[in-house]
Amino acid sequence: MRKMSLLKIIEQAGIGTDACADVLGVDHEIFQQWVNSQREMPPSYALILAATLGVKAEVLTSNLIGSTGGQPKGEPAAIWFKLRGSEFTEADRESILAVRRLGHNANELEQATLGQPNKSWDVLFQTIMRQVDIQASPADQGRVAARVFCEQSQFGHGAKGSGEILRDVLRSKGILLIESPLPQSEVEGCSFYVGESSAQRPCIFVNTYGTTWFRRNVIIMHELGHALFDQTSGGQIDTISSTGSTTDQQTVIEVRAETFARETLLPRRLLLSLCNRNGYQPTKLTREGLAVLVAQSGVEQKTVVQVMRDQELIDEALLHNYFSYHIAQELREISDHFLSTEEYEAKIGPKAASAWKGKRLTSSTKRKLRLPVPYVKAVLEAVKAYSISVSRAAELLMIDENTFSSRFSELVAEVSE
Amino acid sequence: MATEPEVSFFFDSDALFQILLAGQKQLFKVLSTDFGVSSFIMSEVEIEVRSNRKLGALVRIPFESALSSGFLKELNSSDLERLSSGMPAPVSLGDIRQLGKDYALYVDHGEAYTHAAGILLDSPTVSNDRNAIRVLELNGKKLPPRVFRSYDLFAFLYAEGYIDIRTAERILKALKTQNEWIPKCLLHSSFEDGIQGINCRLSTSLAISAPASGWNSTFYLKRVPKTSV
Repeated sequence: MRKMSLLKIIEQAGIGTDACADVLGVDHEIFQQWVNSQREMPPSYALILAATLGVKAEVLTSNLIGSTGGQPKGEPAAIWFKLRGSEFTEADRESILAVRRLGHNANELEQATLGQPNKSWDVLFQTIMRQVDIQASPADQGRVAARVFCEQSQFGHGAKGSGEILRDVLRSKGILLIESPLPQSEVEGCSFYVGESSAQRPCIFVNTYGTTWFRRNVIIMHELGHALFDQTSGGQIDTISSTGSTTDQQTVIEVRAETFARETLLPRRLLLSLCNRNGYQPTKLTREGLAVLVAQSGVEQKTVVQVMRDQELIDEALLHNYFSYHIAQELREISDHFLSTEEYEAKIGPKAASAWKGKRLTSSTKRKLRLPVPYVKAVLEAVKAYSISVSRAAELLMIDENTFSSRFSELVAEVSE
Repeated sequence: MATEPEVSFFFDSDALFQILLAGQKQLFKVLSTDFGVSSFIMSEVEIEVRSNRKLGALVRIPFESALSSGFLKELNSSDLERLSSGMPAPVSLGDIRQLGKDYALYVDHGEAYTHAAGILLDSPTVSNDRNAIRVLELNGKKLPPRVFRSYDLFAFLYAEGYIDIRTAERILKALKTQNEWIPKCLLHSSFEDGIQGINCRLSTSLAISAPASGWNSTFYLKRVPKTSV
């Protein structure tokens, strides 16, 4: 009974046993013995695996796994069911597994350094949802939520785009934000909740492969919209294929999330303010002008143009005309965010370029994850402050201790004195 | 005459790796048969040792041999019942896991559960991770009564005549070759010249004793009297 259940949980999640073993940093043979009930999984590991899969820890340690009648059910989190679709690959699921482990690690880091996980997001979400009329149209819900969100954070203040601050704002609220490449994946972005049930937090994942910083800003806020509105659905995944992005679908949840994204990043007053400041008339934009609006708002061309149309600042013909503008060259000249990695590294010089190079990738997980700089920094600061040990830091960064020592040799030497 | 309580040492993976890499699994037998000391590991340490990508395969055979000999054991409920029988309150695996879970926020898994066992059973632990000990201290966490380094055990084996100086030098060389942690006093010197510098935390006396001082002071073991045939 038990044997089938652990295996069943993993199978239901659509993940291989080796990927589970890797995310725990455990030898494959040992994990297989746990699956086969040849030995018991220690509760310390069960706790991590449970948080990663989204099941109760008792399910993985109790002999009553899979039984009914009030016992915890051994079914993985809703996000795994959504990841079963044929458009998703094994790599997608394994990457999400690593992201969920990161969510658990982030909670534990905050418990060690702050005494408890940052739950500011919960207060923010409640404040927003108190003002949203759930009977209103999806677009109206998105608009109201965006207005309250902007009031509660620093979005749109000083008539400035929020692209530069959005990551810091979200992280300061305890929202886990991960931008990492998933090559050959249709996943554009997704959001779900991670961590033990008592310490859950929203997690937003954005695929950086083949996309721009400007597009990612929109995806991040779109996924935040899902995290805010669609908590009970267990998470949302947005994909992009030859037929377009799911973020553009006219369903209730997508319209609401997309409106939220557009209204937080580029509300009407900000768009008008940017036009006025630069002396642009929305109906007479040149390629350079459109590039300036994209650069200053931090929002991709498609969304800027769409917002102008939504706000009735341009007509349908201009919409299509502006969509056809090729502004890459102009953007490259005025925004570092449009430079390729090589171009950016050349601009900042080899010393600055090497500061984080090769230091953020996980090595113990089957699919390598590029960890967010603020998270890696927080781990290193905790080591420096003796809040956590070097070997614990390696666990939190999902690398082995030797790799940690070679990546951060100066810090290791400093705290090993 | 009251019998002396059973002495047990809890080994963390970093120290265990060094003992096994040094080819000194005899240590567990020596501790048990000559000094009545039981050597234990927590299941987390067993998993860490087997799962280590760099060293796991290298120590696999001696590790399994040490475990199958029974001189090194993974702690189980019946061991716990025996070890805590003389204590005011019996200690369960659940108690160790509870404390270990808290410690695991600050130090790695193996370290956390090893020290948790040492604290609750008032037993010494064996760990080379000085940084982890400092982290626990600075976070106001209790430490086991004694924490030995693998080199305390090597020095003890040498001082008590279980290994000769050639073997001791070979141990040092083997660990240097593996880029393992070496105490400063031994980094650029021979075992013979440098070992005094570690201030060995393990010694022998006529009685088992652990004077009530810090985790890094000397612990005294008593030889088990040889029974004549």
